[in-house]
Amino acid sequence: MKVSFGQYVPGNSIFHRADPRTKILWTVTMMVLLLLVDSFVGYAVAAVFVVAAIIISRINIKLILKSLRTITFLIIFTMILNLLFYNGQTLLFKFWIFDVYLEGVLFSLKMIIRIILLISATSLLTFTTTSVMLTDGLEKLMKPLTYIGFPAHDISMMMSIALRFIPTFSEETDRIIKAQSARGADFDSPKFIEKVKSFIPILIPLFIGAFRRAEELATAMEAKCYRGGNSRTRFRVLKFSSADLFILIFTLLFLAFVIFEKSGWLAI
Amino acid sequence: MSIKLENINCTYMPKTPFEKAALYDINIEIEKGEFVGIIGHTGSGKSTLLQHFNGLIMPDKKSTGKVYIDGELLTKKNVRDLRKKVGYVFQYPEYQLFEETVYKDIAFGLKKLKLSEQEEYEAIHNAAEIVGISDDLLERSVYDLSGGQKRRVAIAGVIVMNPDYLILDEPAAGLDPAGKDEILTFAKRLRDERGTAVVLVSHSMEDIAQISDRVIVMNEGRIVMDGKPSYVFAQKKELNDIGLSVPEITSLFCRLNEQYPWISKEVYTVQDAVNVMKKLLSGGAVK
Repeated sequence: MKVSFGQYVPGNSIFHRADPRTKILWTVTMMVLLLLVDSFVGYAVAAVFVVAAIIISRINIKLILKSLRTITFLIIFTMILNLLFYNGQTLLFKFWIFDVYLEGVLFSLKMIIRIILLISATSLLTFTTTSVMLTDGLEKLMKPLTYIGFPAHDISMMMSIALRFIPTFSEETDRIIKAQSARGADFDSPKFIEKVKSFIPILIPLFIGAFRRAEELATAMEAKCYRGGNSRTRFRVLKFSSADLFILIFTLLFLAFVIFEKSGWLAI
Repeated sequence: MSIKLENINCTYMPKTPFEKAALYDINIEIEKGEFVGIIGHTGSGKSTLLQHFNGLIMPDKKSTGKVYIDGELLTKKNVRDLRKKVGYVFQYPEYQLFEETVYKDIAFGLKKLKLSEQEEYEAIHNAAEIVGISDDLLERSVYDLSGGQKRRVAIAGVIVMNPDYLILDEPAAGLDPAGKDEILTFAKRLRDERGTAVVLVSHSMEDIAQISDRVIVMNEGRIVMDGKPSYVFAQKKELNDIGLSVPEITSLFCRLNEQYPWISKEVYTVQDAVNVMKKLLSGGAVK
């Protein structure tokens, strides 16, 4: 098992204690606001907010950096594209058929900062929220949509089942790979066709296992008289607490700053 | 001819909040022809230990841990060849079956060995015979078989490679008593006929006491006992302390021994019990 992007890390920080709805709200707001900000001063302030949030959440900074490492390719790709194709006025140098402008360099820098801040801010949600809490929060947030016939409960149940089985299947895959290699399977053949073929002994048992589990789970749910969302009570009742208030104020502060900046009072 | 582990330590997910040490300082040697039983709690490191035997888990490069198979140091380069000597049957091996027919599935490992058709055919029939899969089942789909049959087909897929060492991780879990006995019987037969070393993990003290010549007890990532069944199962209190037990029949004779000290408590299998009883009856040792 590997720690992947945004795996839940147990803890007792304000972020951990906050209602998942507040955290979803924080994530969405941060996403929108970070896309609106487009000056270096703006990014500097945004970075202060994001770092403050990370410190408050008590998530090890190394874990955040690790999750950033998975998107290194994306960052480099964006950077190169912007460098080569951005059209500005101040020509820096020519490279083959491309012109590199000063504006292009600045713009690609901004894009990189934007991506890094986006990922760090949003990964806090999954780092501090268990998948069960997350889907509970989503269900509550989607509740108003049920009035127009949107199956909020079913969707969130499907999501939580899907999330619940990710580690199970990753363990199962690991096990099947080990079992087949113990029987002499070879997964790093240099030939492409051979390589694709070598995955058949993994995929077939994995699919069969998935169907078997799905069937077992369906039977178990039916045996417990599961009947969907109507009039179900909850074990965990979501409540608005001081932690939520804190995050809300924190988000509002950042919102205020962005409005302030966008209104042009901070001309750069 | 042996598998030898030297200074093996193992930590899962190091340097993360989920870090978990699984093995501490393991030094152990499994000789060819031995029948070794491994007991220990869930999470005591049994499976992690087993996976070192054939390089599914390699010792950390920075550590001093080393694995030797038949005297050869296990490295990334030779692991694929050395692994052929060590057959590994996972828990619930029936979930790894994938081919259309039983025959093809047993043949899976053989494909890499480039045998002639005749050799392949013989090897497969041989393996099927050992695990008790009759010829008429060979052309059936693996998904038509019963649970016990599937498990035996999966084990045949490992035995067919003719390994020198066979590792069985709880091979009888979830089987009925008859199915369990069959598996233990052919494991023993393999050892007796081919001299295969068998390493068997089980939660049944009775099975372990009855079948193995050597018992290894694991607790919290360490080997706490290693010796003959009579040596290990004589330490009833120590085993109880780590949440394990002795065979039922040993418990019974320990209690008899408390009441009637002349009855031996060194009874580990039903056969031992029969012998002790016979002696008592013939010798007339009753007061």
